[in-house]
Amino acid sequence: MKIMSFIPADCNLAPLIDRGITEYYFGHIPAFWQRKYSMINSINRRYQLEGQMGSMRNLKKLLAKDHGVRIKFFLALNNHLYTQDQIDQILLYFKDLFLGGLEGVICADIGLMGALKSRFSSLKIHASLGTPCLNSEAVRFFKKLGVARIVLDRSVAVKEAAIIRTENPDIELEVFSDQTGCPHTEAVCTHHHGSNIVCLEKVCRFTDPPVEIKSLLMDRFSRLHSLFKIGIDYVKIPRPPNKGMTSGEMLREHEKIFSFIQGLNKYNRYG
Amino acid sequence: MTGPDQAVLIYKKSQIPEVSKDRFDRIYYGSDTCDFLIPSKSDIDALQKIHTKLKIDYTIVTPYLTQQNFSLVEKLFKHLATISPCAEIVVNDWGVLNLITERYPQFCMIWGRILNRQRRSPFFADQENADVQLVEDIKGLTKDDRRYLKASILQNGYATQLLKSMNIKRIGLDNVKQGLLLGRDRDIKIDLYYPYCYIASSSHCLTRTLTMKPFLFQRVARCNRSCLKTKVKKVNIGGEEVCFVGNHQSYFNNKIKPKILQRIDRLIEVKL
Repeated sequence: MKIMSFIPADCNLAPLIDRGITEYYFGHIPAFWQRKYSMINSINRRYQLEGQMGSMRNLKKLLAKDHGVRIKFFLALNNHLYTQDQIDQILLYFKDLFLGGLEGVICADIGLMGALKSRFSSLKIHASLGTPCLNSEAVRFFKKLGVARIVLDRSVAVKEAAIIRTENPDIELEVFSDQTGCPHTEAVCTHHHGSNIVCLEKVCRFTDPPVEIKSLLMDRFSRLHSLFKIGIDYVKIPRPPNKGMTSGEMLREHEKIFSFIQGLNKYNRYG
Repeated sequence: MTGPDQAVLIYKKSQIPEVSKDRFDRIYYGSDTCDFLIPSKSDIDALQKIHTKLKIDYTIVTPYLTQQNFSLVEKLFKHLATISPCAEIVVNDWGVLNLITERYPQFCMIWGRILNRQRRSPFFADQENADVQLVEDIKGLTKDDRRYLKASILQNGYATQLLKSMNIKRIGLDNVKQGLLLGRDRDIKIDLYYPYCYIASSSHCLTRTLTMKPFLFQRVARCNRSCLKTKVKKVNIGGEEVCFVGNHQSYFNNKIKPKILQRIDRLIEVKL
């Protein structure tokens, strides 16, 4: 089981590479998008600029840098919907990255998936959490579209993930390392999540006072262990929605997960 | 010029006799969000009976599906194929779409409102500690912002091409408050759902959550159909009245612009 991490705010990957993490994702708001839209219409469902990678120049530098090992970078273009003209502009703006530097794109919009696959065939497409893919038959649909990896919704139970895995051994499956306190199925939720806290407490968990949901969720380490056993390929570390996080902060925050996954992999190799 | 066909969306068998006395040309039956409410054999038989007796057509609505309940839709299609081989099916799940394309190509698929990717939520909070405000009250939205908020998959040519390649010629849209862009492509017919607009849905039963607090927000493996027996719960969020029923949230908007009415093909009254 491998880890897919977001790029930390200080772009310092070295300590994470030391932990064996070689796949990274990021968001970036192109200048044309910033000119046209305010943050209610974020390009990637992150509504604060702190959650995005800054200038294109720095981004290209990071992608071109020699990290000592092969690093794979993925761009999140995971809005539920893009319009035709937005897709055309995205294809033009990111063309250089699509042709070199990027391993793939995380998408929720099937139009964007199709457009990327037809023009940049070597790009790997990940079906994001933003598109409903909750059963084996849906996975088969995405395989036909050329999708290389499916990010399973947090609501998918371990038992269900096991069936999806068994019936689709030829596709990569990814899960999130956490379970949120939101009761909604993310792929079909159309709330604007400007502020996650406000959204969670006042909109999603609408009862007064908001109900504590966490105690009812499966312990995340037990869940990850079960998902590891059934052969899930990747665990994604979620990017904090409203703030940037340096690599040091990230290591502190996710140390337990990193060690746990490393331990599982070691056990699998030697045990 | 005649207006759009009148249809009604229901999910309770007990509603069938009631709506068949009304003015509706067609019954949409099923839930687009809950896979515990997939129509049963006896539901289909009741619809077929009404069709034979009163000449009211029906369309079967299928939700997005969990792995756990996917076999229910396979059973439904097997039965449906024997009694109504060219049945109209509303599809809200990529897996169902794949299943129909591969095994039941004779069914007539309608792209459901859950897959149309409309931007729906009527409220927004952009900062921590900020109050929830209505989207229509947000200051500083650009013209492009407003246009994007009205968009759906109809504005995405790559996706509509895919629809057409799968022989889908009809799409469902919600009558969202911020307005709609219907596009110029007349090859795709439009179903407009009103007055309740879908916002979000859950793998947890919200009706159960609100009525049986000790079991709050637990994913249910079996359903006791509380939504069929309980009244719709309404909660005021940021000035908008949000309805909770079954596993989904929706809001009310019964204002439809005459220009929209002219362009749509079916007007579907959603009954909660």
